[in-house]
Amino acid sequence: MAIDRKKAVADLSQIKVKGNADGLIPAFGVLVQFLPTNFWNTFTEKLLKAAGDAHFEKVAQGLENAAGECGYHTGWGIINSEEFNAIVGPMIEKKPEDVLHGAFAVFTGWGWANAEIVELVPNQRMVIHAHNYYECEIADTFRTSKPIAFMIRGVSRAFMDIAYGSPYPNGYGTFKCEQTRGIELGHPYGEFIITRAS
Amino acid sequence: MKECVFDQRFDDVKMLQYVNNDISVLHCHHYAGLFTKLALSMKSIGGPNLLFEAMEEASYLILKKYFITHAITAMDEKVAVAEEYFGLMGLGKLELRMTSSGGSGLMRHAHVDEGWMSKWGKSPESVNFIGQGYLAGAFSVIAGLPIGSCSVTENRSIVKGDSVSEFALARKGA
Repeated sequence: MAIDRKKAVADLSQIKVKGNADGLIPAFGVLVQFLPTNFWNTFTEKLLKAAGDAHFEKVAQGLENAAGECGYHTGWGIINSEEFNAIVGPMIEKKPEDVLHGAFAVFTGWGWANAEIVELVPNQRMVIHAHNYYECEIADTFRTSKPIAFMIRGVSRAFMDIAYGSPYPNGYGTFKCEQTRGIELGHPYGEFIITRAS
Repeated sequence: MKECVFDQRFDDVKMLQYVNNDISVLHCHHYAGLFTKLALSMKSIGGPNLLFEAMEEASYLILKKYFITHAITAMDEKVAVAEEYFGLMGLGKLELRMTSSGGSGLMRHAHVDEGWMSKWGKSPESVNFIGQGYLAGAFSVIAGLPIGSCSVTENRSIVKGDSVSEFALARKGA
């Protein structure tokens, strides 16, 4: 791997973001917002509580899909952005594998999750370990027996879609993700296994 | 009026981004739009209201902390902070008016509506539960009331084809 993850995370984490005169943040080909994580977690927790076991799968699929589309479209914008090319671009030797490692440096530097690739079989399988992520804080107030890091699940498989799926924007859904461990379940880290969807 | 403080910093141990000491995260309009759509698809369990409440709680806490930290006590300054903070987070261009029994909100730009339209086009119904919740939380904390003291009605919506979004705010029980 040619990516100096520590340097990439340090540099990417310093990018400053705030709304323009219209109160909007157009960036990376999308509109972004910069909200407190407790908003996203509170909604997830409220929805899971209201849904109960009867609607758990629908909620889980909806939240993971939201992250998947976010990761696919925003991820594409990020890896083609000036910022990414300036910071990560010079480190890239092998595409798309180094780009994937760089994308997870963005993932970490922007505070989504301290997540990195621990195994990558090109075009087939990727394993992510996340040592901290904001979604796990839901466990402070919501006891769960199921893993609920929907954001990491969706974004991780979306990054694989970008790397190995059909060219953007036709590759979404090529990969799936299974979360096998979770800080919210008491494990020391979250583990996410991404494989081909079919 | 002083410019609103929006202090972004990165904790390189926890690997988290903070804005004014609140853990914060960037997400895109696809994410907000699909959360909203999921909430709408779960009306049977109160999905839209849960999204409203989540942002109502968030805005109440953010603004309450801001007013205390920066010793802001005057109503017009609190209103100005609430308007500016909404935009700094990327949620849109907000004008807020307060009265003793309620008030109004006007959005010349709205992240949720404009993101929704870029993804799916116009909607026959209002979708900005996040914006509504922000207004409810802002009203309550500015008025010195407990959270949950404000009801919000969205009367015009960018997502429905109106030029602006307009909201009526009413103090519950007034």
